[in-house]
Amino acid sequence: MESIVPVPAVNVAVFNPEGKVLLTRRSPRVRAPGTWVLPGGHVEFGETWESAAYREIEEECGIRLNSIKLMGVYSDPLLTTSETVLKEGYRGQFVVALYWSDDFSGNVSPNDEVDLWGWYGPLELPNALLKSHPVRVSDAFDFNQNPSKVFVR
Amino acid sequence: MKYPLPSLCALIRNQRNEILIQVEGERYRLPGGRLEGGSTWLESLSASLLGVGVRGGESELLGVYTELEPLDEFSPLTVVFTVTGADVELKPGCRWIDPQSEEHALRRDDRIKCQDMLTGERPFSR
Repeated sequence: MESIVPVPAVNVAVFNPEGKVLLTRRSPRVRAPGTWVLPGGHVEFGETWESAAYREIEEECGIRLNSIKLMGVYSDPLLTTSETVLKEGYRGQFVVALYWSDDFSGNVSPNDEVDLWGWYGPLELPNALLKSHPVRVSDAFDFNQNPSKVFVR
Repeated sequence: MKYPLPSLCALIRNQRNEILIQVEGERYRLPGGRLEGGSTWLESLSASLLGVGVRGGESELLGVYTELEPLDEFSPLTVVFTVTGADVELKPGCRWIDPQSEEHALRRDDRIKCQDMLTGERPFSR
């Protein structure tokens, strides 16, 4: 049985003026290709949770966030643990700080970790969300309506 | 070690608005520990707090923090909770302090968390 190691990560729920959230589809270059996610990635040594969020969105989506708000933390191992062993030799449990933003500059121009993207309303979500993401996306729409909520899951 | 190992800690308050700390030499630290693989934040929080004699209570997220002076180099990232209404059986090396009058004995990072808690706002991202 491989060990499970918590890996800190961030996601950002970016909303456009129509109240739709930005989702990206993972390309064959990355883990779980073909699944739809809120953009994000790992927190590296030397970064804060927030600086990782700003960096990941700029790298992955080509847009610059002007401000973000923390909306919750996510860790449920049933949803967040990788099904395969990572190249580091363990199964990663991606424990996430999820941020919200509706304040960004630039046009979406994803890198090669993304092969499709779009803005989605709550009733038009893609079917193939990554297993950890239905709850995060639902929470994001909830937070977009009621920003005083805080999620611990 | 490719990625930081996330940790958690708690500001446990009693009815006198004191917080529970662990004494390490001349310094105080907030109770907590690393997030255990395969556990949720709240499960790891409960396990860590049992070790200092704390059971139950209501946990709320105070925020996510990046330690300015981490307790160990692999764990600069911390998720911080406030806990109220817990049953506390003080263990050796633990005591209640007034976070304002004894602020000087707290680590700089823990002082920031206490100050954030006292604002009443949340969640913080630092």
